[in-house]
Amino acid sequence: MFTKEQSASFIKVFAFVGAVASITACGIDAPKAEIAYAEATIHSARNVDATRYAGVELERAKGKLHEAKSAMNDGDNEKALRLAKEATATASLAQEKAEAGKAKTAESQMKDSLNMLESQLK
Amino acid sequence: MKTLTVKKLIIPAIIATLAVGCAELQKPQSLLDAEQAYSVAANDPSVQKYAADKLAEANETLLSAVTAESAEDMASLAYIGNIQVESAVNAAAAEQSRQNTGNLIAQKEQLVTVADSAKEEAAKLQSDAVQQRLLDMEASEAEREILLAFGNIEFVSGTANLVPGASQGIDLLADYMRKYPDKTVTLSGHTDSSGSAELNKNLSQQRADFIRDVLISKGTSPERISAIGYGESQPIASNATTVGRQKNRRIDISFD
Repeated sequence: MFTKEQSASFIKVFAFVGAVASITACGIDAPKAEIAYAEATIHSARNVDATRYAGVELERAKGKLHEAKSAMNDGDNEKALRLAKEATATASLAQEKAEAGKAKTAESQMKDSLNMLESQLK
Repeated sequence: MKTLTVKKLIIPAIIATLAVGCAELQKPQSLLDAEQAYSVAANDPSVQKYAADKLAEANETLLSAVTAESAEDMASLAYIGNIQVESAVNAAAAEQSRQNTGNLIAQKEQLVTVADSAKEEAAKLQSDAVQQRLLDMEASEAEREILLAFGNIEFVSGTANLVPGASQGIDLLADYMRKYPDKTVTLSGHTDSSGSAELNKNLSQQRADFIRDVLISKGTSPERISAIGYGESQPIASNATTVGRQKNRRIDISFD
């Protein structure tokens, strides 16, 4: 049926197609939704005053979002997806940290107010 | 021919290497650190209580990191897992602070309530004291009037009968006993030294009893009035003169 040379070139072709196929299989769509989600999470973190209570985390989330966008523009969608998820998690942390900071501030204000009242009553 | 054989061998070899490489994907330090952070947080009762859901989320992420197919995915999942652990710790801290604040508010409210009632109590005590002082002043004014009036009480000599028109003091005393129901009064009867001591003692007792009876008839309850006859034993003036003897015939009143 086929000559040995033909067989060899078929194998080469299959190998090439296989390689391309495997890359394509790994390849994913641009993670636009994940990036939008990261953006929204950063936005809500800002809304709960994360700029003040979790500045470092908020900046890191913004940095990762920026990197995710660049990766997507470069066509590296997998990297973009990873970074978008990291940005979201980091922004969530900023949010939690801001809530914790605010709750802690309220607690210590309440404690001060109680101490003041106690000393007034003595 | 020969090259083909080599190629045939090389391709499976590469695939095998890749497969083995995947299976032996080493945990990076960041994943070990994240797992360590997770186990610390998972043992914190406050995190268990207030952030169990976030803790579970972090656990899931770290488990998927272990089975990640690429080093990049593993590192990324380790990062996210670590961040989620930190989120859980912060969420727990926030809830703990909120609880503490709630307790502090309750404490403060209780303190305010106690302080308010103490203030009220103090104000009440003060106004009671003022009221009492006023009452005392009024009472002593009334007592002074009664003493003056009793100074004018005269009995018909040798009897326990009042000289007509001399009952003003008794009326005042009856009013006073009505107005100050906590007061008690002691009536002490005295005579001059005319006549025998025993007769005088009886007479002074009869006179004190007479006033007591009048008071009772005007509504004072008997247990609030003591009547004692001292006879001639406690003169306040000389029995040698008419004026002196008149002074000695008297009813003394003391209030308690």
